[in-house]
Amino acid sequence: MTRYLQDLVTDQARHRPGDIAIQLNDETLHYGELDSWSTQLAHALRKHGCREGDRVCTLMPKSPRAIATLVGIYKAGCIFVPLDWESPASRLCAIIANSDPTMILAAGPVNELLDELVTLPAFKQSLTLTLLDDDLAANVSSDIHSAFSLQDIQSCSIDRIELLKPPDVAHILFTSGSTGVPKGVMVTHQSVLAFVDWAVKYFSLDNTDRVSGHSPLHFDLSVFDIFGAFAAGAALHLVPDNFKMRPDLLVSWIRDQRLTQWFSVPAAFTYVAKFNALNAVKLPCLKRVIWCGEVLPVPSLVYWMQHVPQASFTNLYGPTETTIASSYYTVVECPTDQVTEIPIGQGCEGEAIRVLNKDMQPCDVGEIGDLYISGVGLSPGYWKNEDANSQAFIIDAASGERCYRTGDLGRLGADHEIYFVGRTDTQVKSRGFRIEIGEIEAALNAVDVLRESAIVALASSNFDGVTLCCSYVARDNDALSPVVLRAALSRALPWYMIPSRWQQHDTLPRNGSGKIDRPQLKEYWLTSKNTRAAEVPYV
Amino acid sequence: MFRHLPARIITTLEQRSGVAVPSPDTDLFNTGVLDSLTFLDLMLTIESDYGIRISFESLDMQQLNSVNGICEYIIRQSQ
Repeated sequence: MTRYLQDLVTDQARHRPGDIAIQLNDETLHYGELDSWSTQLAHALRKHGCREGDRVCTLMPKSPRAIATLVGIYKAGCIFVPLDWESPASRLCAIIANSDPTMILAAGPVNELLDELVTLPAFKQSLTLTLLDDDLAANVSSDIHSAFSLQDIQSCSIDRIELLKPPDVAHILFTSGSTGVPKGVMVTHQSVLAFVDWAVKYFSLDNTDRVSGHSPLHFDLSVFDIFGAFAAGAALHLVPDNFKMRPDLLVSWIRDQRLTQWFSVPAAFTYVAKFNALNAVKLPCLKRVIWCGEVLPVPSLVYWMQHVPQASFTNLYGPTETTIASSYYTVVECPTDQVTEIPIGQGCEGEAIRVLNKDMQPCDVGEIGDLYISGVGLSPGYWKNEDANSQAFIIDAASGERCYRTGDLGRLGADHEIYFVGRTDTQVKSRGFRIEIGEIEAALNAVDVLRESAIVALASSNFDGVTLCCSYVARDNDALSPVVLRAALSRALPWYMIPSRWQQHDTLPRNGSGKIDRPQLKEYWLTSKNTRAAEVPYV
Repeated sequence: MFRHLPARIITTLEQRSGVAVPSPDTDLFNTGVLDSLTFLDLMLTIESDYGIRISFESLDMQQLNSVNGICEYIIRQSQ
């Protein structure tokens, strides 16, 4: 019988209904409650017209209730589309229009966002909204009506819904698109289960584990946090949002929750290392440390390995298009120098990751080529985006196999491990998030006080990922504060896509063919001391 | 002699990062004015602008959560 992600919850509820499934601060959901509430929500969704294969969006911060909501969406036979509640309304509106949902479920402090969303011309007024939060219902404009309430869910049946034709697709996750429009990656129940089955086995996850939930729900690392925990019957501890800036509080929290697994992006590791937060706090319960999304700087890795010597350290690699991660490498010993390269390793069970040359032939050892991934994690494609599908998902003529062209460059080492080398295009990573430079520039082009602008991504020496730098020319050449531009971009892009350095220019340099000379701009940013605030006296 | 320091830090944040700081007392962390990247960037700018060495290993994060708190830190380090 085919398994689905919601079955993991039902199985655990049968065996350990009283065990903690999810915790955030003082909000706890046990497996039994999680199973019954999500079933009741599924009945409510069905009663209000949601059917197999329909998309249901959520607009809410990560919480036990939000995760129970996604399980309920699966149980109703629907496809989960998480909306980033920290993104601006205009970007969410484009995602909603593309995913064409039957309903949006909202909760938490999203009243202003919802009020703005429903007034946008592109927002479909007939779309059903449901507010799973009494406070939110009291704070939205009077034009917004909730299809049902939390109380209505509690009166629904807890009997399992037999789905006649459950969809293959579990969720659609939207990532930055180079043309300015986010792309929705379809991820199936079976591809998530394949990864989770491998991970539970490889990491020996079991019901005594207490695992972290650090990534937001619209980021695919959260899929492993959630369903890795549910598959093992472990407890998922969601990281409180107010630790974002406080590495000292974060590590104390990991200690106090007695976490056995910490899984996040390199930015979080580096931030802790930069402030030496593990000097005062020991983490004796931590058994495994896992990162994904970016290259972890070696000094950060060394810092963590020295301070948490009993834990294993594993690098996972893989884009959303191939589900959570496709390759893995567990560090054998603590690097002794800063130039040690940590490989992305070898394919997880059922996944093939290959380095191919321009003729789609395997590269020799040491030769740089394109990384291609095939196997059980492969997405069926982008949602309603045939152009992107035909470019990224291709049939390898030699094997006849469907595979994903990652856009990443790699090489095979003499140790038979694969090493990440860089990108073939202008996609960059910051704090683990994928960012297409084109999406930022498209948003800048829409700012009418600008004549022209360009984004340069500099490798960051003191953090990780890149620093996004914006060079701009004002339309009428008057002084234009970056505060104005940041505010304008914040209405179009999520926070992690906003440049952190800005510089006004009289003109932007051009190359021989008349295009903006990006290498010259990059050189400018690398050498410039442009950012000193000289106009305010020091003393 | 550090009378203009808060205004200078606020201008640095505005000019360099485009970040608007409503007042020197604004909580930079809990209001979302800064994220970890802009905070680290600010600390490194302060190092080079004011010729002080910031010891990240012994920073009291709680104290650095406002422009006034950052100014007090710079003054202490400069003495």
